[in-house]
This record gives sequence, structure tokens and C-alpha cells, in this order.
Amino acid sequence: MKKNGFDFAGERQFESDLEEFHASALTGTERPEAFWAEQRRLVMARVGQAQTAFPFKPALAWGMAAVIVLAAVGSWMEGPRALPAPDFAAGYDDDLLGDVKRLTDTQMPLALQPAMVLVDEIKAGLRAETGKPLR
Amino acid sequence: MAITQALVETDRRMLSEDFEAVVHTHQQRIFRILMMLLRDPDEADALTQECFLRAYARRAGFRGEAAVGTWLVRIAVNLAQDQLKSRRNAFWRRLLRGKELEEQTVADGRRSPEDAFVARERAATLWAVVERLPVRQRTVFTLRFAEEMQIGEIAQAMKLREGTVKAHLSSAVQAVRKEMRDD
Repeated sequence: MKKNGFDFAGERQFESDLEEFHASALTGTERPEAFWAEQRRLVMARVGQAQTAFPFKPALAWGMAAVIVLAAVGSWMEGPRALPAPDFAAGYDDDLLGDVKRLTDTQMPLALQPAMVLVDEIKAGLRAETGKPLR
Repeated sequence: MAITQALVETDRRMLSEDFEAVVHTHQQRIFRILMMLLRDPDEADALTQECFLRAYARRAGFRGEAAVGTWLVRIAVNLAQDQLKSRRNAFWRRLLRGKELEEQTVADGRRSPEDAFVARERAATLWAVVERLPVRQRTVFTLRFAEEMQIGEIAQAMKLREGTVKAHLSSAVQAVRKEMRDD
């Protein structure tokens, strides 16, 4: 039924179709209460996981960064580790040699160990000259 | 204004303190919208959960420009649109499971079984026509006629101007009307 070119019947039919469309949307998505309860349970479980997972990651990252910074600052403040200086003020050759020997025995790098041979020879020479045992 | 502010504050407090109540209040609507847009119950269920997880993760950013319900619809619509864009097997999905909405229709005692059958058939055709619309038109049409949302709320949910929503809706209605007439 058209009046002035307007299809009233077609329009009524279209309105009716839209009503059916709306109604089928409601009924087509109906679910039992158990479905909604399970969906809520899953959502809240995942929310719980997110709560524990998310704060942990930044905390861990910040913690690691802090440890690295502290280690860097600590090593910078400490500076290069100096060897204990031998006491050269003793004045006696045997004291000096004793200091050199102690130093070579304990802290000298491998490259300087041949010096030990020289020290032992000097010690033997001194012992022969003075007849006094060396420390 | 004061009332609106109070509602926003309530929404904000619920988001952080009683999120389960937020899920309980809105889950059916969000699922319905996703189901209407995606036509797949499993996807709708998965994306409903995803929608609430995103809302929870972003709850600090909820500024109360819209009601929490509209804010959730916006997240759901974005999820659905992303899903629709990424669908590669739409044809097979439709073929295998898309009949669910058409098959579950209203039992109306006022109509004769024949009338009810015809109405059901026409609603099924309408769903099929809507599914062929471009994503934005489909979303606007579905939110307006299946979910019966107001134009302003659709605009907020889709982050569009009201004029743009009306234009999409008009194009969608024209296309659907033409297809239904030709059918």
C-alpha cells in the first residue's frame, strides 16, 4: 500500500523485522546462571593473577637495577685496591730484603717471581759476610 | 552536575574496590553485544572476559567521561572490531555456528505458529544482511536496534561524533531495508 510514493506496508514490515531482530538478540544470548557465575569466577581468577603478576615485575626490575647501581657506586668509591707498601724505612739491608721476600712470597705477581732467585742469592752473600742469620 | 560527579565517584570506587560487582552488573550486556557483533558464542565468552580484564588493568585511567557501562561497551566494541578484522575463517565459522542466534527466537503466544515462523525467518535474514555490512555500520546498527542504545551513548562507546553515528546508521538502515525488500 503506497501513498504519495511512501510504502506504509513496507515500512510497517521493516519495523516489525527490527522488533524481531531485537527480540532474537535478547533470547539468542540468554544463558543459565551457572554460565554467568563461571564467567565471573574466571574473570576474577585472572584478575587475581594479574594483581600478583603485575606489581612483581616492576619491583623485580627496580630491585635488580638498584643492586647494579649500588655495586657500581661501591666499586667506584673503593677505587683500585693498593698493595700494602713495604716499610723501606728500616735502614738495614737485611730488613729490606726481608720485606722484599715477604712481598714476593705473598703478593707479587708471577712475572716478578724470578726476583726471588736474586733475593736468595743476596741473602746468602750477606749471611757469608756478616755471619748473622737473616729474618 | 553534583549527581553526575557522585555517580562517577561511585563507578571509580567500584572499579577498584568491588570489581566483581562491576562484572556481575555488566557481564550479560557485554556478552550480548559481543555475541551480536561476532555471532560466535565461544569468541563472545572469551572476549567478555578479556573486556573485563582490560577494564581492570585500565581502571586507573577511567576518568568518568562516560558511565562505566558505556566505557565497558567501548572496550568490547574495540575488541570485537579487532576480532572481526583479524578473522580469516569467517565463512566457515558462519557456516558451522552462526545459526545459533537465528534458531533461538522468541516464543510469542500472541502469534500463530505460521506468523512466528515467518517472523523468525525474516529475523534470520536480517541478521545475515547485517553481517554483510561494513564493520562500523554493523556495530552502529546492532547497538541501536538490537541493544536499543541511544545515539549519544553509541557515539561515546565508539568515540565518534553523534553526526557520524547517524550517518553510519542511515547508510546501514538504507542497505538493510533494500536487502529486506529485495528478499
